[in-house]
Formats: sequence, structure tokens, C-alpha cells
Amino acid sequence: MPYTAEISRANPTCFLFLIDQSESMREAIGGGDVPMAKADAVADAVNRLLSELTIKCAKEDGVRDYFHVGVIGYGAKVAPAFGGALAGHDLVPLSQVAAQPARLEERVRTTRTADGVVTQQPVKFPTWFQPVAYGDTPMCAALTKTHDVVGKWLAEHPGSFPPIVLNITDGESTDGDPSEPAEALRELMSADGNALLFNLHVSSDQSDPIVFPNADRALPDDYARLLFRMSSILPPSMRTAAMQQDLTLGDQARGFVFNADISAIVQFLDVGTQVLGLR
Amino acid sequence: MRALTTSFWLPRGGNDAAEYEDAFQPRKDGRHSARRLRFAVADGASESMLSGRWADLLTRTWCKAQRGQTAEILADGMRQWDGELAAYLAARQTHNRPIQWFEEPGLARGAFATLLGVQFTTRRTSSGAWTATSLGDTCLFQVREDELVTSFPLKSSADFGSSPNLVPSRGEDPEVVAAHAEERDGEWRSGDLFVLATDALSAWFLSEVEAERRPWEQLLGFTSRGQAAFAEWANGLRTQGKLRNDDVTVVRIEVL
Repeated sequence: MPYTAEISRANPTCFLFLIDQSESMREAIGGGDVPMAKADAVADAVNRLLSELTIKCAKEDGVRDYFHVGVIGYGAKVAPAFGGALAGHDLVPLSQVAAQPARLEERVRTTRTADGVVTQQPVKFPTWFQPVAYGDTPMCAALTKTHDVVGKWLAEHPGSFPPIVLNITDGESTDGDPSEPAEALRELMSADGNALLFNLHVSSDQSDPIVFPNADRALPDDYARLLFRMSSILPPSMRTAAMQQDLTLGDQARGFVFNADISAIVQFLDVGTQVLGLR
Repeated sequence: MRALTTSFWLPRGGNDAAEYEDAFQPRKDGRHSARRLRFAVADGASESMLSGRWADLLTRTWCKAQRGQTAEILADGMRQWDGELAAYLAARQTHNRPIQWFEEPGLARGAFATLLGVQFTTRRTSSGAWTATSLGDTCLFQVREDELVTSFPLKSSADFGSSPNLVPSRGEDPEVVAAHAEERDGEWRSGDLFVLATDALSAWFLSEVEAERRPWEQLLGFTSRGQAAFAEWANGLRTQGKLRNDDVTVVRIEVL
């Protein structure tokens, strides 16, 4: 059965982020109470995802390299986007990402219990990326570059859980229709199934957020519909994990999110026994 | 009750022994003879920090408790955890290994483990009662005259998932956690075999039963010094895809 390969240090998989860093990302994201530039939303999403992935793989002896992670930025150029010691690398083991955030901010997390008690706790929020918004949107070139990176990974890890690519963009490609390079990317495969391409659409449209839809009917514009069609259908193993977390998803649900938090996707990946609430 | 117990354990393939996060008590194999015997097996969750230590503490606390409700035992374990955690944090400080940002959320949330505890009490020399308590997917099997007569708490190999109920080391009211525990009573007789096992081996055990085979015969084939043979056998099943690659623990209790 596909998408059941173990994700472990002996058999890691790769997780690649594509980040749209184009000029149009200066515009404000739609919805939400506080105005926020799309570029800020993108940087926030990537930082949050890297942080969640790291915490998921953290044990008392360090962060286990279940994933090798890469970030490719596309805007004025298409290039690996890690800064500092990781600069220039396509893929790095997660433990190296964990060890080298660019900044470690203190933020305050406000939580409200079921009986209405509000508590505030300081939490460390690592950041690897600052918002960038400059140049065109060469999404086709970014997908082609990703194809090279994923293809190389698969040649070296033919039995891995299929690579996961998450494209974070406002969808306004300036170097042509990205459908074809997206399809070529999804056609790459390991012994365990095809590479997975997911899309987080960060849009100025004011429509309500949409999470892992089954069909494109409710999507607000052509960009959203295009990104939906480019997105892989969530494999059954990930859908089951989503349902265990009380998300109801259709059997054709795609890895597509419109103006909402996509970090839940990290929890759909099985690296061992997960901690969920008592049932 | 007089019983001969033999335990086998193996870390997940690719992990070393220090990374094994299941736990079982008593650790000592051999003949046990008492009017009351208690056993426990726990499985620390992969996605939690210090879960092996917590699994170990839970099994020790369960077996030491002379009586008491599940909630009291869990509360006792959680109280002791605060001390264990403080000692761990102090040791990290001493060894100049400060807590990293990615460890903080996990340490704050606490450690998590399944728990299966069973108590045998004696009525006559050759029979008595047992009571088992379960939180999660660690299982108890009772075999009598070559038939599986009890499978607790799960009954089918399809029932195993990646998010079983777990006992947290902190942050929850022990009464609330205990309310999710399942209990089962039964009677034991001389000649019965009990098997306590964590999820991967339990799932294999039930799939064998579903295929009308007798998995207990394979488990009875290992001697008390048979750790190496057990490891070879379990690794073979892993290679064939019949045993999920996970920590494995089996406690075999042969009632004499």
C-alpha cells in the first residue's frame, strides 16, 4: 500500500518548502482582524512549520533526522533560501535546521481553558526567514528546480516515504502556467508512491479561509482553482491522521489551504505514537 | 499463585537499547509465588519527551501499589514525576547541556505512555481471580487449553492506530485520566498462559489468531535466556512486514 513507508532516521523523507518572494507579496492578505502583508504571512507560515516539524522530532537526545528539509525562494531569483550557516544548501537534516535558527524571539502565548481562564506563557519562537517581496514570480522555474532536488533525493532514497513539497504563494505566476511542471513533480516517485505537492494560497481575496477542500467549487478565483488542481490528493494515511485530529475530510481532499494555517499538515505525518487527547 | 515469568524486549529497528521506550515490571524473570502478584507493561509515546522514563515510573508505581484505585496510582506516579523531572533538569544543567528551544514545549506538555496493569489474587492453590486495567493499546492475552480466551483491551489487529489513549505525566487531573481506563476481570487456573505485550507485537499476535494460527506457540518457544533468539525472530518478522517496526515488549506469564 503506498504512503505507508516508515519515516525514521534510517529511512528519512524530505520536506521542501517553496516560498514566493515576489513583489506582489507586499499586498495585504485577505481576511483576519489585523492587516498583514502576504510576505509576512509566508515567512510566518514557514517559520511555524519548521518549528512544528522540529518539535515533533525532538527527543531528549536531540532532534531526530526523520526529515531532510529545504527551502527554495522564488522572486528576483530562484535559489535556496536558508541563511547563515545553512546558506546555499538544497536539503539539510532537520537537526541542523533546529540548531541554527537565525533568531530566537520570545513571544507570549495566550490560552483560554474550557472554563474561561486565560493564561499567558512566554514561548520561544525561532525564525529562519524574514519576509522578502521583490521581483517577479517565477513559479515554473521554482517547480523545475524542485524537480531536480527531489529527483536527486529519490535517486539516493528510493524507498523513502514520498517527498513532500509545500508551495506557499499568492498564485500569480509570471513565467507561465505552472500546471505542467507541477504535474512533472507529482509524477516523481519512490517505491512508496508519488511525490506530494501541497499548496498554501496566501491571497488578498477577502473570502473565508478554506482548508483541504474536496472540490474547487467554493474557491474564490482562478489562482485558487489553479493551485487546487496542482495539489496532490491527501493519501489515505494522512487523511486518517487528520480525522483522528477531528478534521473531517472528503476522500478527494487535496493538500490545499486558502488563507489559513497549514501547520496541521505536519501532524498528519506518522513518525510514531502521537499524543492526542483522551477519548 | 505460582507463576513462571519470562520477558523479552527489543528496541525499534535502527534504534539502540538506550532509545527503547517501553517498560515492564517486574524486571526479574523466573518463578514468582505469592497470594497476590502484580505486573505492568507501558509504552512511551514516540512523540513525547522522556516517555521511556515515564513508562518505567508508571510500571514501577503500578506494581508497588498494594491496593488503591487507578486514579490514586496515577496521582502517585504524577507526584513522583515532578521529582524525576527536576532531577533530569538538574543533570542537564550539571552536564552543561541547557534545555533547547525545541525541547521546551515537549517538557512543558509532559511525558506520555500507555499502561496495562494486572493483578492476580489467589483463592485456591490452582485458581483465583485477575483484574486488569488499561489505558491505550498495550494488550493482555489469556490462553487456556490452546485457545485464546481473553484479548484485552483490543480484539482485532485492525484496532491498532497511531494515537492510542495515553497517560500524561502532568497537566491532567488523574481522576479524569483514570475515567478513560478500561477494566476487565477474569479467573485464572493452573496451566493458563498470560501474555502482556505492547502494540506492535499485540497486533501481530491478533493477526495470527485471525489467520487461525496459534501465536502463543511461537512465544513459548523462547527460553528465559533466549533474548538473542527472540530478537532474531522479531527482526525476521519486521523484514517480512508482519511486525511493525516499533519497540517490542512481551511478558509471558505461565501459571504453574
